[in-house]
Amino acid sequence: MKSNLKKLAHNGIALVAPITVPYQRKTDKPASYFIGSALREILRSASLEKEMCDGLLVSSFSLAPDTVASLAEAFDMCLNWAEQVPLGGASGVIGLRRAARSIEVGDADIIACIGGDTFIPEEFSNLLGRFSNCSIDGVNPYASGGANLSFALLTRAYMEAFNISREDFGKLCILQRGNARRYRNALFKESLSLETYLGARVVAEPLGLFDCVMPCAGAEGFLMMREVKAMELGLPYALLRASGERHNASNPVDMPFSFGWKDFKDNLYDACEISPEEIDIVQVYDDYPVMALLQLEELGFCAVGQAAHRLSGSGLIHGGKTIHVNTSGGQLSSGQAGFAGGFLGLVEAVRQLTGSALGNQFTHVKRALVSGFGMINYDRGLCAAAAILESAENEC
Amino acid sequence: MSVENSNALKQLARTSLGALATVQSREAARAIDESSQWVSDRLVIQCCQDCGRGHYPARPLCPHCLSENLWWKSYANEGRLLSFTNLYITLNSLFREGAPWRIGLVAHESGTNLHVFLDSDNFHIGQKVAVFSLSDTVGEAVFFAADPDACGVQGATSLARKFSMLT
Repeated sequence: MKSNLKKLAHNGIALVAPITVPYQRKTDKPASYFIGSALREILRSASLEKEMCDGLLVSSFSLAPDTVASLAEAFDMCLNWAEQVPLGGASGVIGLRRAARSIEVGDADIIACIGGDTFIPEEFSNLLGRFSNCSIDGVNPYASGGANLSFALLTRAYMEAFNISREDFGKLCILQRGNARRYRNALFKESLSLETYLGARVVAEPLGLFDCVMPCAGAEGFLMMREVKAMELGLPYALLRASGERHNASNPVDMPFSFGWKDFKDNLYDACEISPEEIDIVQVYDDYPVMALLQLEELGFCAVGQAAHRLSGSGLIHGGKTIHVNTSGGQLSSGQAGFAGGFLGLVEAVRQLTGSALGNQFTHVKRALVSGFGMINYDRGLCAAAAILESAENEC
Repeated sequence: MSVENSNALKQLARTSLGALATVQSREAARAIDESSQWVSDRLVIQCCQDCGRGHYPARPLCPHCLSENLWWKSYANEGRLLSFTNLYITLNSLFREGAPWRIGLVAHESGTNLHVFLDSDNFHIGQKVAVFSLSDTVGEAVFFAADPDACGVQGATSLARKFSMLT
């Protein structure tokens, strides 16, 4: 099935006021607390009255039975536009796409986009066990391994297919931890050695403790508006240049090593009139190291099975330069605050592009690629999304 | 903790897990029971009568042609191992006792991928496996796989007893 994937470009859409509600390992607060706290901090950061925000987009694993409508009341907002994206780690980029199109056609002026979750261990296990009907019937009876089971299977198959070692995954985890050490909000800031990585508790072979994200509570969010509005308000912003998504695109029979990004990546770069080597930073969805590597490969930075061999310093060597990867340390260092994990890369990209990183600012950051991945229904994740953002100074 | 208490807790945890099973999964378990070939070299998988394609887990409509004319087809039990793991950390306290669990993913000739319990550590990716089904203690259909050269139907029967007790 071929989709019309040509129209991936966006014009004059700005991302403003990137906010992280610091992650917590323990809490008794509900999801609405974290989402609302993000909204408060976003408005404060942009010096904006709540009434000026006429759209609200949320993604949350633990908000149910409440919805974005409940939040409109909880936050006393009268909205022109409300949206809820239930697509896990793809929610951030896909939410951004929905919000951008709605602003482009004039359905909303200023949209707050927030991913946020609470983390209460007993409820978390129940939620994971009921992730989909197929997982209830076809995965959960196999010792209730959750996502660790699916990604252990994928990781081993990837290692065998491309001759990748645990040390190779360790390189990525250590690289991201290096970035996290300078990021103010990271839950894990201590240096990670290869020895510690390899010697960690086994979760599901070949996955060890440092291959798995720490579930926690928190939120990530930002505002979206027209570029002219951001300029009028005098707010620093990053521009959305192009975005795409693809669902259920992998080969259904074998163990999948591609999930849909390759189907639209050329259109994505074409829409910005750039090639991958003109990207300065990449924020890939890192629920497990194997997914981070597969995204780098499928998005065109190297051939499949090669990403681990290209890692160096703070990122990936491509086209004679280092493309910085997961500059805040990703979820592997910051923790996974539920669906906020799908917004973490966007928030960090906007910070890097506006020169407002929280401790790990890279220089000469003009373009960022952010990808999201989500929703294991049965034996594989289904939703792949990516967006290219640009610093405002870079505009022609 | 007494043995009775431990067993009662185990049953409670298992029941809460099984209570989530969908109607389709229960039908699948019934189909396996009714095939009266419990532990055989045949595997019962949901199949579409209109387009002829198999699917797993069972569902209310054929995912390929969206037909509702579905039945339970008996397939050969051969499959190819796509990957495997030893699972140490589980979300359900019931499974803590038996950990680590050897679990694999098998590409089956019905065109579906099946999760399976594995009977030993002696597997490699790409090898042929024999897949057997059993209806577990809460009425859910689960599969286990063994080396076809080392495990005939008789061997599978004793393995099924073992897995029934485990799950």
